[in-house]
Amino acid sequence: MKRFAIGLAVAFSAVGGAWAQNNPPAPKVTDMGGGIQVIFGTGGNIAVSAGPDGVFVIDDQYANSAAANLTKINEIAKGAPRYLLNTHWHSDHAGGNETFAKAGAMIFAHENVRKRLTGEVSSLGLDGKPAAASPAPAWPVITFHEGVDFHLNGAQIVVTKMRSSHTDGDSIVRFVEPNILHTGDIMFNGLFPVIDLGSGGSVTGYLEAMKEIHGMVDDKTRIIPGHGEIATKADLAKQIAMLEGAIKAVEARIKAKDTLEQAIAKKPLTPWKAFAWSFINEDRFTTILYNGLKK
Amino acid sequence: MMRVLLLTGVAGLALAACTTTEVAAPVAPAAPVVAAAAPPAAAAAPAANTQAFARVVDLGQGVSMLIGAGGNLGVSVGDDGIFLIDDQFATNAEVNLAKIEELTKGKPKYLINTHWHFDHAGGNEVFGKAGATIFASDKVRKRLTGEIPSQSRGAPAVPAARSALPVVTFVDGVDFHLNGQTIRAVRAPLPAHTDGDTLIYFVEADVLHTGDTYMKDRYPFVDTGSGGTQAGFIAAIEKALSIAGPNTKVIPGHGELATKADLQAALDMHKGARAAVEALVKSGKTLEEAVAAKPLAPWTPRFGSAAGSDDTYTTVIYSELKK
Repeated sequence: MKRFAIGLAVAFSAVGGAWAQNNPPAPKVTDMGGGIQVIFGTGGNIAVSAGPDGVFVIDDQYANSAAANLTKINEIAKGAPRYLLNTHWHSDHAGGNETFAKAGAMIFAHENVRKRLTGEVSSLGLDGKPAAASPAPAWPVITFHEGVDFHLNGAQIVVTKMRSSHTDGDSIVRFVEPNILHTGDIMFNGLFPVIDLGSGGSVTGYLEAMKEIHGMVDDKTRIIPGHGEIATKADLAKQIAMLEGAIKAVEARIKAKDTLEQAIAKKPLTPWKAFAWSFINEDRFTTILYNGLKK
Repeated sequence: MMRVLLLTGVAGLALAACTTTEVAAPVAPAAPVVAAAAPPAAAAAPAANTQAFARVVDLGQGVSMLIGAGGNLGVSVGDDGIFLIDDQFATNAEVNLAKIEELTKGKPKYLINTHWHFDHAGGNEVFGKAGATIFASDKVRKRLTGEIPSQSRGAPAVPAARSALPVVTFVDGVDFHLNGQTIRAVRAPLPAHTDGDTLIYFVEADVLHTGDTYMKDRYPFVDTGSGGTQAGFIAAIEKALSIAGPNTKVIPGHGELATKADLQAALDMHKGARAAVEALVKSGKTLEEAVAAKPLAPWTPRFGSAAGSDDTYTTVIYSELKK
């Protein structure tokens, strides 16, 4: 749990400086079969598809963990990444772009990811200040509107842009035949999610996006969440139930004309306190929901 | 049945005709029924298809048009790598690749197919093996794998070799950001030349490659065996006109560099031809009567240089309207 704290603190300090990036933990690998492996480390979960057509990678965590992750990918995939997909622009998912691009990766992302990395569209941190633009080599070279498909290593990899949810540039990735789905940050397994209103995210969009994913998967699907352990459809259902309940609880405070401070003081999310963690505790999640739901 | 044979026959001739462009005067067409029964035109492709492209037309900002046998190529050269549009034939891919290497001092890193035909995507295997990542619409891949069967004459062998298949496919389009260019790959709104056509626009260089949704001053080849439709040509050229500005340099699928005014003339022709044929359909004319009435006469001086191409186009429009 501790690693998420480090991860997201940095994501939102895109903004505040890279203070928490020292000594990232060593990456841990889970083999999912079918040539697909997941690297858990600091920041968002990385997925790697390896085979004769080249190495395909989803997300690259932080700038300062990029070299270690690249080494790990070379070791487990027997080659450097040829294709890299960013599920969204945050620095705990796309922070390694520059390092990966210089190692030869072709970077793909939704067009809004590029716009936020270039600074063409500004992204506000929790402190209300705009994030700094990334250097040009970190920018995705190929951008899409609705999605793209990759046909690699004998498999079909389907990338789909989702509605505004975690940000306004979220993609999910399905490895069709092995029935594996990477949700990007539309799922935080067992945790209150980050809904980044400063990057075009939406509370109701997040709930709808989770429901859409729920409709795409079956009981055998293995879900790679943006953060947390490998999940199942049942785990996703728990996240959906939590968010539905939490939205109702905070909406009740808004209807009762509570100010944000009053709403926080009433601890509306206590029934779901098991989802709280160091970065998104009950109060912070109440704040996100309140700000996201208040008209 | 006769109508089907006739259609596939003339479609084959139209494709064969466009492959010989730039190298020789049009070959006299064989009788349609014979063509329909003949093996794919690829098997009888003229020897000229073993030659590399003949000319480079510099369009500025590192973007060029390469003209030779087969479809026109578009290329962007710069620090971020070589981006190539189409690759002509399997039979001249090696020499095209060698010539591109000689001119650009590199190999294509990005290759996009405007559509699946063998005179545009026939070099995929050679370019894919040389390291290019191949992009195309989803339908291009499905026709190259045979997942969607094609009745086109002159169709390449299906399934294509694995390394000839597009690796990245899209439905609506993708954008590339390289060599100082924003390169927009835009799917044609409706099936036009085929059901997998993509137009490509270099925003900063102001260059538009239309694929075979436009061939300069020719009646189109509507490849109904690959899902093409005449209505799609109208939609595709309207799309091209919405993208193009007054000074846009237009690389047609075949023929010389064109302008926005040329595209507008083609749109007027497509719409006028459709209305003229529609009038004959409404008055109860048979296909034979409609063709004999020469409804495309107003446009044939400009677009009908290939013998019989007016009749072919009349036939396609008539059949589409009768559906």
